[in-house]
Amino acid sequence: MSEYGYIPEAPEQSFGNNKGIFNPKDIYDLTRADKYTNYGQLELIETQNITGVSSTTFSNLGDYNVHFLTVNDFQPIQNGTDLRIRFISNGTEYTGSFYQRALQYGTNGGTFAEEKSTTGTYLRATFNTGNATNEKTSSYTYFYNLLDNTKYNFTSHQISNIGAGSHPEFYMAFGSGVQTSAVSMDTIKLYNAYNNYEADISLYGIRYS
Amino acid sequence: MATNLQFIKSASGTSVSSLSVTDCFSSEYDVYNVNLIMDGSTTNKDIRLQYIYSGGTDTTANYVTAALFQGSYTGFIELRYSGQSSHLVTGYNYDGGTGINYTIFNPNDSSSYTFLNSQSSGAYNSSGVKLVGTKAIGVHQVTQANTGINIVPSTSTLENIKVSVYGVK
Repeated sequence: MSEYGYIPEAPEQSFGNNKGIFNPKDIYDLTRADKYTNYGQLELIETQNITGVSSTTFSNLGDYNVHFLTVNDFQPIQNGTDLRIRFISNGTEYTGSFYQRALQYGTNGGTFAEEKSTTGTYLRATFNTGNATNEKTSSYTYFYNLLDNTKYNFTSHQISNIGAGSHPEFYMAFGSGVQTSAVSMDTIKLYNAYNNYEADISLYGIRYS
Repeated sequence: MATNLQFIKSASGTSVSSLSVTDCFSSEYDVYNVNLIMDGSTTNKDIRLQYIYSGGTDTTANYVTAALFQGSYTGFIELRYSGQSSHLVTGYNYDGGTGINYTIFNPNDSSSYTFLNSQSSGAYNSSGVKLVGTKAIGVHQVTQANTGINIVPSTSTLENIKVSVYGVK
């Protein structure tokens, strides 16, 4: 009971603006409602330590507008190949020419070039990786609008790798991609088109984006 | 799980000529991660960024930017700007929507320039959808304590835009 006999209404709770004393159930309920101030908005969804397969999927995308994917120590069995991205919706893999990409790559040997396509059947998560000892790729990719069936799926990425060649060659690459079907995707597929691969891959959601 | 990306605030608009996120930079963080998502507008073209400080939005000629325009349908274009009133071409949007990620360094440090690194993926919807990506680096060449950002298109309005700002601990 407050002053003058009024019973105050409970204050509105929101991230960064919580008021009151909370018991564990309050914290649980507010956290589930995204209304409890709990720092750490890069939220790990899943990590997969991949070995001996040519394809894997991330089928828990949560409810995020922006996702962040890290690929660490990717190495293919087939020399000079990459890790590719496709999207799946309700069990249907989008395998047609729905994908466009544009990336700039450069090597320590002085080669800089464009790689682009308006009729691609995949997006890139890595680039031209070798299969000898220590020839590996690390990269990160941002995904936008994967769950929104009114918008295109956008990606942007940066890649650093030791590529295939007559000698170990360092590559950097950065670029972007789009999947132009306005469909809500529920799964990210990461595959090598030629053989098995190994990598440590983590998918995060960025809360409040 | 307490990770090192800490939400500060977000702002959104449905059809606005610009969008400001005020009071999002402070001495608490040196590095900020900013995510932007927006729908297409037929005349937006390049998406620009300005800083807000105690005097309002800084539109003086303090912005230097180098960008690479990456289209899936055409040769890439190198762009260089100095003495501008905003960071030009931090993203590109023409009727297809876009997503942009910014990393901003030292914005609230009054003894340092503010540095920017941005990467975007967007669509150019003219005679069919085409991918347009951008990669930009920039410096705001003045030592002042910036407290926020202002997103502005080269023309027209920003449609269904949301900007979220995070501190990097």
